[in-house]
Amino acid sequence: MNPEQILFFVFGLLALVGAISVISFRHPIYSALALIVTFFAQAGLFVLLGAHFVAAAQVIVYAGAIMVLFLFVIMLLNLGRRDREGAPTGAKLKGIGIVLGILFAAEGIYIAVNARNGTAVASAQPAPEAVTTYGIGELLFSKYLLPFEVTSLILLAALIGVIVLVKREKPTDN
Amino acid sequence: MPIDINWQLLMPELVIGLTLLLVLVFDMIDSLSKTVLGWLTIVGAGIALWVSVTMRLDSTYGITFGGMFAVDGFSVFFNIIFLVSTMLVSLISINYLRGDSADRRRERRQGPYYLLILLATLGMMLMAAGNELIVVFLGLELMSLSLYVLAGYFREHAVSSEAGMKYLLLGAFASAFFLYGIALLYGGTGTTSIPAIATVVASGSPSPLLLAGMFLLIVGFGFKVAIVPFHQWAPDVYDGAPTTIAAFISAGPKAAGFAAFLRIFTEALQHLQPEWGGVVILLAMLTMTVGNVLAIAQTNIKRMLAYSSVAHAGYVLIGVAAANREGISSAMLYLLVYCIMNIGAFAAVILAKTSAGERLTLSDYAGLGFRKPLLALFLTVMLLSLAGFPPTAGFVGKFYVFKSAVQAGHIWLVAIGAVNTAISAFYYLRVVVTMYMREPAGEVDVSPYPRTLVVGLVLAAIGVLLIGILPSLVFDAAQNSGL
Repeated sequence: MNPEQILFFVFGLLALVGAISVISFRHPIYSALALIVTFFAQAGLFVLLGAHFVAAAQVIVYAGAIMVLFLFVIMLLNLGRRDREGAPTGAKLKGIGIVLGILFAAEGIYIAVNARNGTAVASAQPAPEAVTTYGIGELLFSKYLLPFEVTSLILLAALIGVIVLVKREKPTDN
Repeated sequence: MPIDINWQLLMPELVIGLTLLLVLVFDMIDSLSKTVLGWLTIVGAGIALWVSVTMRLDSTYGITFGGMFAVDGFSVFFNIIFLVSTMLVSLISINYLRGDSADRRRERRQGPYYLLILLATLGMMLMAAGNELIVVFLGLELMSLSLYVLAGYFREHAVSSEAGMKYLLLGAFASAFFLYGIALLYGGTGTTSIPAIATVVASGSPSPLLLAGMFLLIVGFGFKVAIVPFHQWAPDVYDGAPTTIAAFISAGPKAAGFAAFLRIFTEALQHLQPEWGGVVILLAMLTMTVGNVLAIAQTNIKRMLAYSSVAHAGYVLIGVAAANREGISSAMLYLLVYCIMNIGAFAAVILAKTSAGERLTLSDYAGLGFRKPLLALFLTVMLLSLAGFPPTAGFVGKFYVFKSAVQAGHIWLVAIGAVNTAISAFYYLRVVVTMYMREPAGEVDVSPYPRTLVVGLVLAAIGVLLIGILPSLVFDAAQNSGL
């Protein structure tokens, strides 16, 4: 086993332990913290695949920004308390979770089995420059310029939407 | 690695973008009446419409932005549908938003309303012209995000907020399906470009991943255009959202969803037609039947129109199922007709409002035919068109859709469609009968007619009758615009 393989198993195991912890903890804050472990482990797997930019984005955006948002909302809504009072567990949600879990597992097994003969997924040729941050930046401003610009419009729409929905009205002046 | 961009092809989108910025700036001038913003939106959409028609006439087509953005007869025709819808909806919104003159707060909050309508329109245009799944998805998100907020625009009303919330949750769910479908399609083909996917799909037997992705895309689209069994959100959202926005959601976005659906399924996944054709036929049957049968049970007119719009998506699917040139162009024609008549019907519902509020239940319409004959007449025209009576546009739309299905050999589908048309005639005519044959329970009281609403309704009626009497006017255009 070369070091890369060892690292793969370490990160893979970490991701699995994190994911299982997310659904086993009773307290939402612990679940959220366990999710961070999973995100970091996934970032590690991305590094092993040579996708450094995606790994960095994973850490900064998911483990960073989104998790802060999660924790913020959990603390703001004081969700931790309900569990201690014995909140009912959603049987319906559990059913959906099991079905989705089986589906995802089937997909993963299918890909793993077919990966050996190379027919599982089409060989996407990632542009060699798409690996580095520099290359991704260049792609964003050339080939993917239109999607990149549209993203800014989506952010504008979100911004306007938030203002519409939460802005406090001044009392009417008449 | 510079790419060449043909700005000329982007003219309609640029005009809408510029209008957006102007509305944004003018909204900040406090002394300006907010009505100006509405007119600005209409003028902007009008110019974009004019540009699109010119592009259609001169055949200014091409692919730009490194193959991401395809301007062809198809996308230009859909641009025309979107822009007509946007203009009509803005027209009926100007008076509707002003509401009671006492409510100054709502008066002040008009700016973002038009901004979001313009952003949604831009999203729809990107969906129709997107030649790359990423662009289609971003257009879809731009449109959907704007619509979520618009549905919850009257946040002082609990029903409106609830509609926005419900739409957001189910819409996000649908987007996740759609995105996962794209991911699997990428896994199965190695590309997200629509023409490139078509090449890969044509070259070999499809991998299971590709098929799974395809069905996920159908689910995602099904939610967005409210196809049975993914339609549950539609009645609640239409009912709770501001009526003008219900008209908007039922028109342009539905057409945009079908535009992207047609481009992806009849171009990228053309060779998988044996796989998805049967599913689409099944969905068409379900959508028509469930939509129409549930519409019968409704006494609330907004909910009735919601279920009727579900049923109309089923008629469009008949054209999609045919999947030949005639099928696509008849679906496009149907969408144009449907947008105009549906906005017209909603405009008439808004116009019928009393000083006490909107007239929502069926019994509210009793006696309207005598007290307000003109309004009742226009509403009747819209309902007859929705039911598909000649000489209205609705008849023309249904005729060509059914004809294309017969040519494709889907006789049973047409039979079910015809039965459904008969079912739908029942509940549309029930409103007409109530207006003309039933005595009102109390005094029929109608607020004075706001001018722009009347103009919007009259324009929609002219459109419906013109297409109904001279169908070649638009059918030739649709026929030359297929993919």
